This record gives sequence, structure tokens and C-alpha cells, in this order.
Amino acid sequence: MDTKYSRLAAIIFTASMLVAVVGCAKPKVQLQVSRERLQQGEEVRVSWSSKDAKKVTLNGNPVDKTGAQVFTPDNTTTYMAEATRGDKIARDSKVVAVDPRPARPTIRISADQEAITRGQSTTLRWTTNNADRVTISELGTVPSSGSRVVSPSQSTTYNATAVGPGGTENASARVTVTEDAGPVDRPRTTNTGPNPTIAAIFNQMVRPIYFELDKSDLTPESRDTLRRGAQWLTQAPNRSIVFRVEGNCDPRGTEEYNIGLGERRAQSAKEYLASLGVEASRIQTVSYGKERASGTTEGAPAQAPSWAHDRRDDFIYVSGGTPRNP
Amino acid sequence: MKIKASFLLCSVLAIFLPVLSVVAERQPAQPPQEDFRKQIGTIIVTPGNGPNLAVADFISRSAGVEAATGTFNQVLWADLEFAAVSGLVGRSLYPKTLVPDPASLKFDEWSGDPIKADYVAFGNLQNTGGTVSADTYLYDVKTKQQLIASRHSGETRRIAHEFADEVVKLLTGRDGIATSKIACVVGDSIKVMDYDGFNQRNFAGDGPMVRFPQFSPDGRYLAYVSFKTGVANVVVRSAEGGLIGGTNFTSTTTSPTISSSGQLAFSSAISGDGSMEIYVSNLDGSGARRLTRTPRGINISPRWNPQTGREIAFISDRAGTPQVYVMDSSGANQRPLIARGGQADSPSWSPDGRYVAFTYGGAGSFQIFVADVASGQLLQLTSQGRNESPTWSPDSRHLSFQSNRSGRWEVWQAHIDGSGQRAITRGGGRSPTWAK
Repeated sequence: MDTKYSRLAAIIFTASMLVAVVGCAKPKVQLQVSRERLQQGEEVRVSWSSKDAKKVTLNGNPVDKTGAQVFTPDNTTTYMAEATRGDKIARDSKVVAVDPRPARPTIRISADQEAITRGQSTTLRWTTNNADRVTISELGTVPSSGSRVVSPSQSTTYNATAVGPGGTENASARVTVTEDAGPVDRPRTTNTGPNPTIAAIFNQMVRPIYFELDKSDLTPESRDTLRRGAQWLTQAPNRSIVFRVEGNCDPRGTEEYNIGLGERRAQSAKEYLASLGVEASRIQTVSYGKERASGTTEGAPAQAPSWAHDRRDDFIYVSGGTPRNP
Repeated sequence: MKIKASFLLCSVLAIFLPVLSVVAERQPAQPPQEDFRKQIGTIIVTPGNGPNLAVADFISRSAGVEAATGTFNQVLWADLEFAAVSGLVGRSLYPKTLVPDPASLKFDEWSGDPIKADYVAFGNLQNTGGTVSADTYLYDVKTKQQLIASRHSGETRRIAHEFADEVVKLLTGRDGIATSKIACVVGDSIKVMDYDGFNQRNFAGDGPMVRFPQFSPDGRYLAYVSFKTGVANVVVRSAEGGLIGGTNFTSTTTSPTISSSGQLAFSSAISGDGSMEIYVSNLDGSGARRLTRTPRGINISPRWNPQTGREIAFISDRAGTPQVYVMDSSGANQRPLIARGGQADSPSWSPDGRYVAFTYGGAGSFQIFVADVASGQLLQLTSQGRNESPTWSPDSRHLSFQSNRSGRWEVWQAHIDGSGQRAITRGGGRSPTWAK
């Protein structure tokens, strides 16, 4: 009898000790995230595992003791798993940083006059948002917002493309060119602003020139081009024209120094034009360095995009001149 | 153990940061190249060669601050890791006991094996009337002394940065960089952001295109180039955005830099010599005085020595290819600082005046180099992708620059020894300038 009771007592004691030991165990929880940084719209997998837990919550919501969930957080989020057993609590957390999704680029382009007669010009105007790079067919790489006087010889659709971290957007403007002024309304002219007719003629008479690699010296072809330009610029009606020489480089040099190299190219043209009688005071110079470069191979000046085309001076009409067809 | 660690460090540096031979005109006797590498190696503290710092996770003390606490812990850790003023002891070794306040700190747990911390940072966050506050502590666990007991309130990232700087100041006696800011070009406008790339905000979008921002050494002014009038000209604004002045020339005027005494320098083609020359003027662009004279040459990228305010580093092609030169701010004593062929650009003087970082390379490949001004010795900082336009942290221990290694131009950072490289922008970035 005695032995029986003591054996039973021993079993009960051992069992209760076991319960006590297991009951005392502090719960453990571990939480993992598949990534600690993502962009809005991307997913993160949050997984957790626990030991000795009676109840597990993830950010306050009851969940399985071990499991995983996929989230698409909009903002930086802390994921916290909490394992409880009685009054004992264990926590583990991870922060997932969420970067805002880059905004899609937008682009708008329009022509001041959508229909012109051959020889006339119109101004293309464009604005973009969230774009790193803007290109327009016929014009190449252009600033993110701006305007350009164009004088297409035939009807042309200008396709503009804005590329940014959030994607690519396109827009276009069509300029219809007709043979004679008869059926088309004449473009309205205003008292202010550059005269589009003169600007268009300027563009035809003063042509871009091209340079050799790392050089700002004029080539024989460039001198010929500038001589023809100077002849027109020194004619009486054109002597009040003020214009700008814009120097450019191919993309292989460094950004800051290339501003200097592009300006040297503009200065070479200015100096030569001045020697041919075009007053230096009429000539502004600016360098865009490699900001407008679009080439990836050497190519040739006539083919854009190419490095040979990137290394050039553009000539931009600013003001002055006498209108021919008032 | 310590010897082994530093040997390892040296070997790593030897592989990745070859000290290159240079011609330094002013230094007839070159010290052994080891010196510069050693000197740089002591600036950045890695585990084993400095004090050990443990940073216990801060604890939420009131409901609703759990997310803020997570952010705080992440930012504080990243700040102290990048500060590299101590060896950060990995969290996996930490005791399980939470340390929200000094009463919970058991010194032996932290000072003994395996943590062997010299210092422990800890604390808690709570909601005080709608504002997040952090009670922040730093203890020397060997001497059991309280070194910091402070409270920071406000925006979560900001208060973590403030405490990180407080720890750095206490451990080194020097100001930290966690509350500093960086401006850079994003697309065609200038943005200002925290030093770690967060909180990017608009600064200026002047016309179709702005480029080459430069903070004044005290961070009060920002100069940059705008193409608003069709011609590149310099614009100077206060750090708050108010217009101070600028140039209005009809030829390219670029690369502004502001001295510690508030003078402006820039490069311009206004001379009539067909050249880009360096000029010094008042902060608003008035009273320009020409310093260089190189007909048909290019002198560009001037940068004041922020320490002395009396020297200007710049780039000149007077001897053929663009190289780094130095002159007195009067224009006297123009001499090459680095002359080793190839093409150099965008020099940047460290705030303590000891180093000049610059872009160097050729044939479409450019990297960031650091020159020791006294000896002319060089370290190559980058080797991946193309890297340009370095700028220094206010404590002269880190650099930021633009790199296209990820496939597009982003702003990156690195320690002065080339370690710790990380991108801090994600939506593009160029021409960083780092201010207090």
C-alpha cells in the first residue's frame, strides 16, 4: 500500500514538475522580411517562427505560431511579431523602408501655328515633368522645357519623348506646310518677341559647324560655313541681328570641364565671325557641355545621334533684323 | 588579434587602394607612400582598431510610437555605422534584457564576453503630447559612468540624427555629420536632402536647366549655374532660397565657389581672349577681378580652400590636358598640384584643408581620387562605373560624388579610405555639395 502510494506520488510529482518547467519556458519569436527596402507597389514577404508560444500576433493581429504573409506597404512600416505565454512576452521586429514610386513623366508639346506656308516658321513649345531626358525628332536632345523656332520644308510631325525614373511618355505636334499663303490664315504676329520669319531665314543662312575630338579649332569646312553665314549677317538689313553661339561636346569627357570645352568651341566661331566683320557685341556665347550629347559611337556630323554630331556649335537667333514680308 | 586585424586592413587597402606615384612639384623629398595609406587608415575606425560601441534597441514607452521606434533604431544604427568612429558590436551578441533606462542596465552583461563593449547607447521613445520624444543615454560600461543623459523631441529621423551626433561628439570631441545636408542636381533642378538621402526637397528650379551647385563652407549660401537667359550665369541664394545676386554676362559663366569669408569665384569667358578664366568677386557677383590669363585656354572648376580661404584649386589645360592647379586667391603663385597626364576635373578641398579630391581619368573612364596636399600622394577611391564631382563631409572623413555604376547617375557616399560605398539617391542625382 505504502509503496503504491509513494510510487503514485512520485509520478504525480514528476508530471507536475514537467508541467511547471514547460509552463515556465519563455516564448521565443523570430521575424524575417524578404527585403528591407522597396518601392511603393512592390511586395515584401514577412515570415515568423515561434517557440513555446501560446499566442502569436503580427502587428496586433492573431496569426499562426509559424507562418508568412505578403504585404504591399505604402509607407515605411515596422513589422512586429509578439509571442505570449501567460504573462511572458517576446517580440521581434523589422523595419521595411518604402520609397515612393517615381512619378510618371508627363510631356506636352505644341506649335504656335499648326499650319504654315513653306519658308515660314513656327515655334514649338514643350513642357515636361519628372523627366531626365527629353528628345524631339528632328531636334535631338532638348532641355526639359523650352521652345525652338522651326521651319520645316514639308509637313512634319514632331515626336517628343520624355524618359524619367517613372517610365516613358510621348507626345507629338504636327506642323502642316503648304505651298502658298492663299488658303491658309497668315500667322498672327505680335509686337514683342523674336520675328519668326527672320529666325527661320537665320537658321537657313547660319548653319551648325562641327569639331574634331577634344578640339576647338575650326576645320576648313567650318570656316566655309561661317564665311557664308558672315556674308549674310553683314548685309545691311541683318546688321542689327543679335544671336547666340551654343557650343556642345560629345559625352565622353567630364561634365564640368566640358562646359569649358563647349565654350571654347563657341568662342572659336565668335572670333572667326568677328574677323569677318560681324561685331562681337552681337554675339552671345554659351556652352551646354555634354548636356545635349546623344551619341554612342563616332559616326559622322550629318548623322544624329553620333559623337561627331554632338561636337558642334548651334547658332540661335535672339533679336533684331528687318522683317522682309511685313 | 589587434596586430592581425590591422595587418588584414592594410592588405585590403593594398589591394583596393593602390597608392599611386605622383609628381608633386612643391615636394622635392617625397615621404614613403606607406605614410598616406596609414594616415588614412586611422581616420576610419573598424572593429578591432578603436573603442567598441554597442547600441541597444530603443524601447517604445507609450502606445503609438512603435513605428517611430523602429525608424529611430534603424536611423541611429545607420548613422553610427557610417560615422565609423568606433567598432559597432553586432546586435546578435546582445543580452536579451531590454534596456529602456539606466536602471535596467547591467554593466557586466555589456562589458564582458562576448560583447566587450566600451560604451553602450540605449533609451526609449514616448509620445509626449503628440510629439515623439527620445530619452537617450550613453554609458561607459567599464567605468560605469554616465556620459550622456538627454532628451530629443521632434521628427523621428531628425532626433535619431541628433543623438548620433551627440554620441560622436562625446567619443571624438568633434562634430558629427548626421544632421548635415547635401544638395544635388536632380533632372534640371536642385534638391536639398538629409546627408543620408532622405527628406529630399526642392531648392531651386531656375529656368530650363540648373547645374553645379556649391554650398558656402558655413552652409549659409548656395551658388549654382542657371541657363535661364539662354547663357549660363551664376546665381547665389541663401540656404533658405532668398536671392542674393549673381552674374549677368553674355558668355558662359560657370563653376561658382564661395569662400569662408563670403567671396565668390567662378569661371567665365568674358575676357575677350577666347578663353575661360577664373574670376573672384563679391558674393552678389559684383566687382569681378580676373585671376588667370591663358589666351584660348580653359581655366575652370575653381574651389576655395575652405580652411584658409586664401587658396583656390582649379582645373587648367595650359600645359595640354586638364590638370589640377592651385593659386593664391590674389591670382599669384599658380602651380600644378597634381600633374600626371590624363584628364582631371572638379577638385574639392576637404574642410580641414588637408586633402583635395578630384575626378581623374580619360577615354570615357573617370574615377574619384584623393590627394594629400602636403605630400601630393594619391588614393583611388572608386573603381566601379564612372564617377565624378566629389564633395567632402563637414568632418573631412567622408565624400559624396556622382556615379553611374547602377546604370544611371546617382549620388553616392564613401569613407575617405574608399570603404562604405552606398547610394543615397534613388531617383537620379548629380553634382552633390555637402554642407554643415
